[in-house]
Amino acid sequence: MLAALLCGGCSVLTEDEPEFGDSGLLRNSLPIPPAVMTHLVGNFKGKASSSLFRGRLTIKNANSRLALYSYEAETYAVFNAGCVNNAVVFEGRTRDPASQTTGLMRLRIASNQGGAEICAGTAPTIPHVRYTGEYGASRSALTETISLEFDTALKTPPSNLYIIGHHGCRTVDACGASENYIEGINYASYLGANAVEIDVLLTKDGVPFLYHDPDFNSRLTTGMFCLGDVTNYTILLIKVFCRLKYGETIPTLREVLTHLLNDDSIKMIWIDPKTTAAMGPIVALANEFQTKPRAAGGFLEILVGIPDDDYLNAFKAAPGYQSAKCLVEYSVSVTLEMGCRAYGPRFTLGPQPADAGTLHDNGKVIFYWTVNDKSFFPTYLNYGAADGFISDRTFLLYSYFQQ
Amino acid sequence: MGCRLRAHRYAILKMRFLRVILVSLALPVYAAEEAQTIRTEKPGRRTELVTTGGRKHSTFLFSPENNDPGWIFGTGLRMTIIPKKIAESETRFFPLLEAHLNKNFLKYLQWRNSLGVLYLQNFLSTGIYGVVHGRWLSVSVGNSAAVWGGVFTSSGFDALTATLVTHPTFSVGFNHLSHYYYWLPDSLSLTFRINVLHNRYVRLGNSVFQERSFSFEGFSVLLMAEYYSGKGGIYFGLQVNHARPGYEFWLAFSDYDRFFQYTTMFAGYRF
Repeated sequence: MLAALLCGGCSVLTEDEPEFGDSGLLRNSLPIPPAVMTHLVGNFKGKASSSLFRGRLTIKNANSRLALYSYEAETYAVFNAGCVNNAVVFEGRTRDPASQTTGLMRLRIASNQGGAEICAGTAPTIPHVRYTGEYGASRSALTETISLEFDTALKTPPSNLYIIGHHGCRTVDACGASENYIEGINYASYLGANAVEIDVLLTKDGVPFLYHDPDFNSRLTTGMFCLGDVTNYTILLIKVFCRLKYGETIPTLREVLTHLLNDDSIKMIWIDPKTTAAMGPIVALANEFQTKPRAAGGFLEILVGIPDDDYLNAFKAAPGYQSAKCLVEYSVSVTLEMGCRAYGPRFTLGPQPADAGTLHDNGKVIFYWTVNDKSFFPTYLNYGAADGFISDRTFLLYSYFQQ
Repeated sequence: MGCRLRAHRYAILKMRFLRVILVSLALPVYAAEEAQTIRTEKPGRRTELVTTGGRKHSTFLFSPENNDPGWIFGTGLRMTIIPKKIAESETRFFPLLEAHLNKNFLKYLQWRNSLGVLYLQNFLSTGIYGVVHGRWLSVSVGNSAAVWGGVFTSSGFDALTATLVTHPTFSVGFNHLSHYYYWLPDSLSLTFRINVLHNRYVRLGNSVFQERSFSFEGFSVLLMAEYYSGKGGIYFGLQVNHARPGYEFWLAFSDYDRFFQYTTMFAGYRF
């Protein structure tokens, strides 16, 4: 009984994840000049000793980190990078979200394969860089080998397509950070997203914060001091006692919006309120932040989600709601009546070509949620005329356009 | 607090799970051996044993010990606890009303049919099994074909699915157990079942997605206890599953491609 009480916050579902840590080669590396990152990306022909990374592989950069996607194997790796002895070294985690296995990978661009020039901040003298490396289940078991030969340049997904990271990225997918957290949103952009959907609740003292479930539980949090109904907690108690699965403090909506002003890889945030009481503060923050210029220019697009009539009434009761952009999840007609920016049906309704046509005729967009199976992409994009998807597998959607 | 489980701890949990399966396999065998020992020690009870209660036949729903030539019908409830990662914050309990209709014929064959209903998720299964009745044990081997399907057309869903699955199955029943120890059930059977997925059909709105495959989807081990109760009988079972979360929890549209461990409980009445 005592053991059960002590381990109230434990979860047998959380795997321990391998890391290079302090023994990695990047410990004493020099940073890669941001200007040459564009020489590192593209679509590559991969030759790997296992099937974990197969088919055409895509390398993409976001926020000074690099990511490798395998569309065929539905796997990815996210790297930190640095220069070591005139070679570019990448170290990071591999992830197979379907089988929920995590490993480590180290890639390098040798000095005579363009590494020296990259580290010097100049364009490589050879046409394209070549990667070699190894990977495995842990740092001491990097037994598989991989090499990447350049194939084609990155194809940009349609510029008006929204690739929306579900909760940023999902904790249960062990993407590398907790969902509904700033680093989780960063991971969404590493994994090909250009927008995020986040969940917002309200503290006892009226502060909107990011969290999905109505209670603090072992699925999303860790530790033993934070349990029960989230609305019983003030923001101070949450900050002091509650930790997300990867040990992070739970962020407020204001903190996340402030972060996104400085992160131009995310162009839109879809705020999904989890309580009608949060609607007023959410609308106020949306109005405040959508007019603030971003560091890279332009403005952050903020959509306030309206999942049903109760939330619609709460939205209409919020001061200044006319200025806020909204997204209706349950009705095209309400979307048009309210002048909302978007309609967001569940993908389980099937593709909605007629609704999409009506919306497009009125300058609105349609986002389907939550589409993870790549076999659905063509039908929803073409027949369903999707303008975007919420997905837990944003890297698959991004690499779909590379095939 | 260091509460997160380390990788080796996770591996240990997996090993413990395997141990539970092995023990559940071994226990009934041990019980049967014990029963045989008692039988040897008290040979005078043998005649009494097989005719207790004046029954001419053993009538059971799940055990291969069943040798009743008539139709056997039973109904009950099965409750599956959905793995936490699939259910996320949604409900984790998945109940099904079920019915079974079995028939023995040609002495060594059993025709087993079952139906499970929840509207959202349903199944219909039929299979033929070969049976061998020993003195202490009865064994059956066979295959069932099942169609799992469901419909959901409200609150953001316009979905229908149907999946064809086959279940190669091996069962062993321990005969006349309650005659040895009063606290043992009248029949105890252990069933090992493999899930093989064939065709999958999903309709979302007016779009259809079909998948033809032949893939191993996992297995389950069912320990079923059946008791005589007046003219009928009652049954209680516990099933341990090691399976992919595809057809059984289709509404979750899970994209996990790994095996989960979860349990299913059975309770019902045999008429």
